[in-house]
Amino acid sequence: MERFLTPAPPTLVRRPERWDQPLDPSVTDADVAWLRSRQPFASLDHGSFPKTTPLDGVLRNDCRILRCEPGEVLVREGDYGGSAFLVLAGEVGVIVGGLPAAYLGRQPAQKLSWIQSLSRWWSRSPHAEARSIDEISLDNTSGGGASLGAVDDRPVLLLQDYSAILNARGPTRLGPGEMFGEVAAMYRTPHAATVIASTEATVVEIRWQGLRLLRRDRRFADQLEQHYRSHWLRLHLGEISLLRHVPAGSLDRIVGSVGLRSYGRMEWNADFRQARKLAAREQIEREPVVAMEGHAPTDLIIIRSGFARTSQSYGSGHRTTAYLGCGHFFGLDEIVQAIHRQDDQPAIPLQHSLRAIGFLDTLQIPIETFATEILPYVRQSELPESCQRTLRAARSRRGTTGADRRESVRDPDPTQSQTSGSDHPARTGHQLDHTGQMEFIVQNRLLNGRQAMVIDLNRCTRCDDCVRACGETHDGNPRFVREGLTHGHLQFVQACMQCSDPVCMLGCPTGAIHRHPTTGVVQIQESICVGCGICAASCPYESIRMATISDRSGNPYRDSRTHQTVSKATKCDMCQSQPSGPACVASCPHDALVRIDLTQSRPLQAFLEQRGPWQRREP
Amino acid sequence: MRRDEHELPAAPKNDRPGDRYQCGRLLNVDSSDPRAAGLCSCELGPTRTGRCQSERDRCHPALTWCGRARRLRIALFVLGVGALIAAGYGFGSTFFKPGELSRPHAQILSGTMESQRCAACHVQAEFSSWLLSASGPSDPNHFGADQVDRCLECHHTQMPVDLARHAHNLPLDRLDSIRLELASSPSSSLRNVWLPSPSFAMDEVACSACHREHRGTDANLSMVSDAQCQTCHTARFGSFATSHPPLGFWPYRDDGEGTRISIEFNHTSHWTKHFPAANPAAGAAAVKFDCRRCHTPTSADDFSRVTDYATACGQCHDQPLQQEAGGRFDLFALPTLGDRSRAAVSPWPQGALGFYDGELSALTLWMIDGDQATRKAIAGLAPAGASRISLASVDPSQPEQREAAETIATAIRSAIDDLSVRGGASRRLTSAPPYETQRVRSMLSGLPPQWLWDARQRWFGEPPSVASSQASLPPRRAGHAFWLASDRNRSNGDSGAPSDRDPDDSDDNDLLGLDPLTLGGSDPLADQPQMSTPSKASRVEANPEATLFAGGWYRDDRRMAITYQAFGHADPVLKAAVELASGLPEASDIRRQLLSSGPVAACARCHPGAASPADQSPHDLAVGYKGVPPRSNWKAHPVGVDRASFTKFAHRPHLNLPELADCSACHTVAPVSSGQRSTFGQPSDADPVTQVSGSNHPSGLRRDDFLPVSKALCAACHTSSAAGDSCTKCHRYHVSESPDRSWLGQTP
Amino acid sequence: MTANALAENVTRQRCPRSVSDPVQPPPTIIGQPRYTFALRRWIAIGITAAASAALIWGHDLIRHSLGREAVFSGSVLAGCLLLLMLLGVRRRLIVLPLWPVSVWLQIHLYTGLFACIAFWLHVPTWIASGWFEGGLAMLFLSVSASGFYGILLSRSAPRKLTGLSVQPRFDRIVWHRGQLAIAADEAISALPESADRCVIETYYRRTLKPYFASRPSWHYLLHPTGVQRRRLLAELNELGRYIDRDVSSTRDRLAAFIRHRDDLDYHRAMGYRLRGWLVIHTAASLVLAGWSLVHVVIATGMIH
Repeated sequence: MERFLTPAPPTLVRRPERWDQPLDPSVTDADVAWLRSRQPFASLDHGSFPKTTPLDGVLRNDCRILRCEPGEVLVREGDYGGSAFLVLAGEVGVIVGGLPAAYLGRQPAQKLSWIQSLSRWWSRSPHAEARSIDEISLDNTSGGGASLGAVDDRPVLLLQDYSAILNARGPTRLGPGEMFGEVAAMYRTPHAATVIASTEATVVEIRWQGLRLLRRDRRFADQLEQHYRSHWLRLHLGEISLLRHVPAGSLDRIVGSVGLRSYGRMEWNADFRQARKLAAREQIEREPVVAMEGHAPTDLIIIRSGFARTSQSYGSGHRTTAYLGCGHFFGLDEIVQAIHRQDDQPAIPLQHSLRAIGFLDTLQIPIETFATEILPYVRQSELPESCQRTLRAARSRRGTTGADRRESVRDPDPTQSQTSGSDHPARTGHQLDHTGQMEFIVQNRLLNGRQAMVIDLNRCTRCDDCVRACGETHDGNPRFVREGLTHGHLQFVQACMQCSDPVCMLGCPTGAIHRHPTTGVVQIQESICVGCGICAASCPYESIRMATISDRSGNPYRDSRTHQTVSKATKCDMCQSQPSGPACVASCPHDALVRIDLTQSRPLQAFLEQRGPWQRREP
Repeated sequence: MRRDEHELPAAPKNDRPGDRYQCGRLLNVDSSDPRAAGLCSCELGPTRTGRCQSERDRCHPALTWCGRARRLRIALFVLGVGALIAAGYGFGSTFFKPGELSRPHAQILSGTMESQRCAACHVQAEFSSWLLSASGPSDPNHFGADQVDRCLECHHTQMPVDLARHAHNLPLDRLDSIRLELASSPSSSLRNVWLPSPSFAMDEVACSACHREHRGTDANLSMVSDAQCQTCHTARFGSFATSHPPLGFWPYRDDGEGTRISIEFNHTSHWTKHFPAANPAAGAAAVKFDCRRCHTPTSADDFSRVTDYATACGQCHDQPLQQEAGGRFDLFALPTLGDRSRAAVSPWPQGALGFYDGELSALTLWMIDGDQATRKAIAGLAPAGASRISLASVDPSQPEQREAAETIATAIRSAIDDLSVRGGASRRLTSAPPYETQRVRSMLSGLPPQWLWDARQRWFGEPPSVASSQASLPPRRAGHAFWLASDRNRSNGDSGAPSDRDPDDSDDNDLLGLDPLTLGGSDPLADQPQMSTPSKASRVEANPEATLFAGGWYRDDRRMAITYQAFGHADPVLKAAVELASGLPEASDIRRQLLSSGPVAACARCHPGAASPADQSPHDLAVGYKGVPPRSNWKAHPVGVDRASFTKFAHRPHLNLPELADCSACHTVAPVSSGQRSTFGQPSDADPVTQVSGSNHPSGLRRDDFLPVSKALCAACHTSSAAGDSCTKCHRYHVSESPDRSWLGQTP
Repeated sequence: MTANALAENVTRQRCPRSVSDPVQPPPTIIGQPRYTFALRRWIAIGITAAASAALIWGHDLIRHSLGREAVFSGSVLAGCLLLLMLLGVRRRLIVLPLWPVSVWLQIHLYTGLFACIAFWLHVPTWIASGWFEGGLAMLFLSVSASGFYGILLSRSAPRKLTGLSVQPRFDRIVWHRGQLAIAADEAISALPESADRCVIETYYRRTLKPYFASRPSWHYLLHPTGVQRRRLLAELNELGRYIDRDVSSTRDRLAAFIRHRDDLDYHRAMGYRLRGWLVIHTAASLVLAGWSLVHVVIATGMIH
């Protein structure tokens, strides 16, 4: 900025409106009418929908009718989905757990031996983005017999011997009027099961925005919520370490009273693309506020998915104090203080405001429930230091009334303690030493990266060995460019960060881009990648490149039908198959390049500290 | 976010820094249409060989840095290696030579062919030389010989070839003995320096271990550090001043076993008594004792040991020497026998009868030493080791003593006979060891056999009984015959001038003339009555002092003795006598008798080295002088380099220092009387190093003439900073640079 | 409703942990050296010092025992050379799970240091006598000198580059330069027709256009300075008295372009240094390897 004598003229952007882009433009009034005639839409109450978003609009813009071939894979276990599916006709089978990746046309990357990787390195092709034919075509020998097909110009993945699979697994079958995928859609969780059309079926896909709107209908909403609370919420609460020792009875009461809220759009990357052009101040302004600084704490907010930032108003803007991820608490201090304060003592208002970064999904436990059902069963050691102080003060004031109950639950039953592990103080956010870096990371959504490539520019000699090494491990094709957002001496390179919230995986038609079930590395199965480019477009960090592929002799492949060149999505795969691990890291001679987990602040802190004191200085 | 960055489009992200070529459109900024820059429609990019793959708008792919660097690297590499190959073939060995040779070696090699210089010393280079000059190995006759051999081809004169690889060129047993001596000596206690043991065996020391070549033209090839010297040594020490063992008696002679004494000179007495200027008591008139009068500087960068007798000693010592050495020296002196032996020994001169008396001179003893009987008789008369053997001790009443005396007498007579008849070829002389024979002959050279003949006839009244040995008469020597003939002609005016006779005739004539003389009685001399029966009146009264000025043999009729009248210094017969003695075994009585007899003793007193030459090795004695004959050291050994010694010393550089110009600065004469000699200094604290080196160091100075030179005196200057205190300053590595290793006492 | 059955099913079959996030947390940092740089440096220096001491000790030992100390130090040196060359091999064989290159670089650095000491023992003088040996020594010295220069540069230059406003890739700098020229052209052509347009336009045509179109001069690449930038900015600033506001914004953009261009040129210059030394270093070390091979052959042949 300081280079410019005049401030930049404001860039004008048009505020996006709902239904700018309908899910399926080809939905006609007839379709809408037909849908209106089917359950559950028939039984929905029109009155409950506002004028701006009528039911018809929802059906027209947020829904589409899918005709499914038998054996078509609708939903894959572990994938993220933005849509719920409603079976209108036919039947779909649900397979939970243990469907081999090969059945879905995915070859899990297996580690190469030294010899293999050496020979691969030796025989790397002289041509850019060269593929052998079997690399990009499905081999049906691998079982499952997955094949790429198209239903109404909709690229889909079809299983040949689906019936055998379904029979073998004896799966749950869903008939007309039943819904699946809604939990994943609403609460941003990976799908819990794989769903395959077992017969010719007709399915309505409702994208999550539509689902939200539909929930305005009380009965529909209650149905969904009841279903969710009774089956899923328990699990989620069970994972929260603070609630480990809560007895079953009070857990039910909590389930009853906890509030479920979502903030921001699920495809946050879309509006992030526009928002990032704005000045930092305005970006914060645009983020949906969950809890406002200075208000009285009403309930304890637990982040279930997505990211949030706590900020304090500073000058005429807001200063980020921490960023929160999955399982973090907000307002714990204030609430504990409010519960244990003396009567003459005033309650402390919220010290920070909580803002959703992109999409945020929270559980909100009312303060009373927390006081009666949870706090008595919480070990002191599990609370943050500040809370412990408050508690100690309170206990010293009035006798140990609460103490004996805490004593009574000193020994939790072994199963729980096994799952929960040892006591960790409840996490209330990640901080970095200096705000600038934190602001930067949050503002650019870098906190999404689980293995972000960070280069210490103070040591990087720009020798490009990392890129070269990446090329040598990937058949001569580098999977990243040594370029990216720079803050101080840190460069956050545009290599796939293996996001903890991988938006690129939303809307992949064939599930070619998927997460490794255990390592969590997002990888692309080129044999089922149709080159649609959705992932590349939706990656907010521009870490996915569409590459035109050619055969080993350098002639570009051409599509048999369109005679267009074939392109595949390429990205960093963390050199999963290489015995050496990420080549970029291994090749850096000056310890400048690391793959680092930015979802937490501690790793970056440690990284900076190791660079020595002068490195941590604000540039 | 910067505004100008917003303005500019982001660079295309198809980076391939590993490739050698990149799309040319990324670079053609200066093309006619600048907007063409980087707007390439093809996504494929150029091939590895730099060919644009796009059909529509071809570009000229440009090198990436990777490509440029690769070319540059290859070019530099080719340059470097090419230079090596070119130079290697162009200049050959001069190019690969790791450094200049030292001047002498360089001069030697300057003659040889370029390609074969390496091979002159390096065995392995033969192959390379053969490569470089495709003309076979440089020198076929030592093909494959190792480097030491090649060094020795020139250096065999400096050291015994078979010991060249031995440490100090000493045989291993010698090294062992030295080590043992060191271990026993107190100085072996100092092991204050830790050093590694040598990296080679004691008999595999290559020249190159110490002599490193290719260190430049003026490099010192014999440069060795103290640590390197001491690595082989068991006793090690640091600096000379602090921990070098004491010098002991060095450089003085140690009166120990095997010490060689050339000339006896008592510095103490001369310093204190005869040239008393040294001690303050004497007046100013006293003569100053000046070392340089005897020890004059020589051209050999050092000193003469002594000047000649005349200048050095003669002035004072001539007169007394005349007195001392002027004594007599018997060949034979007939002993007198008792009447009872008359029959047994007859014929025996009348004058030598009466009572048993008469001493046997050493030479007589040697002459009759031939057979066992005589030895027994002598042994019977006198106990072994007796100073003098005389017949006076014979008790006439005891027959065996009588017989002994008679045996001796007979032996003497037969010896006289033998000698008078055969002269130099007598049985005794021919049977004795050659060395003795040699000396005795030279003693008797001035004594013609005819004298003996005459003496025999005169004393015994009859000629020698030669009938037995008639046949084996050797021809007379011409000299004698002539002398005899002329003598005879002079005595009676017989015709026949000797001048017109050639020696043969004279020989025959002598024989002819001799034979009737011996057989028949018709000798012209025979008619002289006093000859046949000597009467008192006609006896020759010998007065040698008066007659023989230059000394010589004479006959003493009164004593019936053949005697030698010696004269002063350097008398040849005495010289021969001394050498004869020196040749005899230590134990023999004859030797002792010889040396105790007056004139000989006088010689031996000042020439101890002549009487007992130390450099005659036990080995030489054992083989009976078939090896190197013992050299009697009449002359002093020259001061200076004795290559056989570990220690070296040069006077000249020291004399340049004014304070050292006077010899006595270092050589302090011991202020003690000769009576108290050898009181100080036990041999044990002598410097082992100088002792083991054959124990004959150049200087023959008696150790007890001088106060020992203290190490401190040397250490005053010889520090690392000043005159240098390295081992090699005073010590020599190649101790036997002369091929003659007789002193090593090892069989060749 | 069968959906419940499904959920039950799910509840039974899936472990609750994986409901919110199915994957295990990744390693927090990949490629973080175990020790801080300072500590690592001290450890390495310590090891090197110890090794050098041992080397010198052994060398003296052999020299005192009249052994072949040159053979000893020479073979150590040869070993060092091999070890040093291994870095290049590792850089190319990146696929193998040997240590990361940074570790190899550390080994390379301190082995190089050690090799210098070994060299000093092997060749007591700076330049060995004899043509071949002298050349060999000079090769070694040039390699080590370039190495020392390189490590110093690699540690100092990045900070200078980090301070700059842009971080272009070396092979794209020319491209950026071109874009800059284009942008400048556009900025000028976008100027409204006015009296003072020609002021800037003339100046641009006279001075700036050639500057943007040309590549940096040799002496700039050898010794980059801000002189030209300051001169141009000053001149541009002086135009201020002839132009009014709306055009002055363009002038400011030109100023920005000039700074940008200067940064690009500086990147170029530093890039040449940062990469050039390495080329010389590697090439010289290859030649050195060849020469020392010959040297080893000759030495083993000649020494008895």
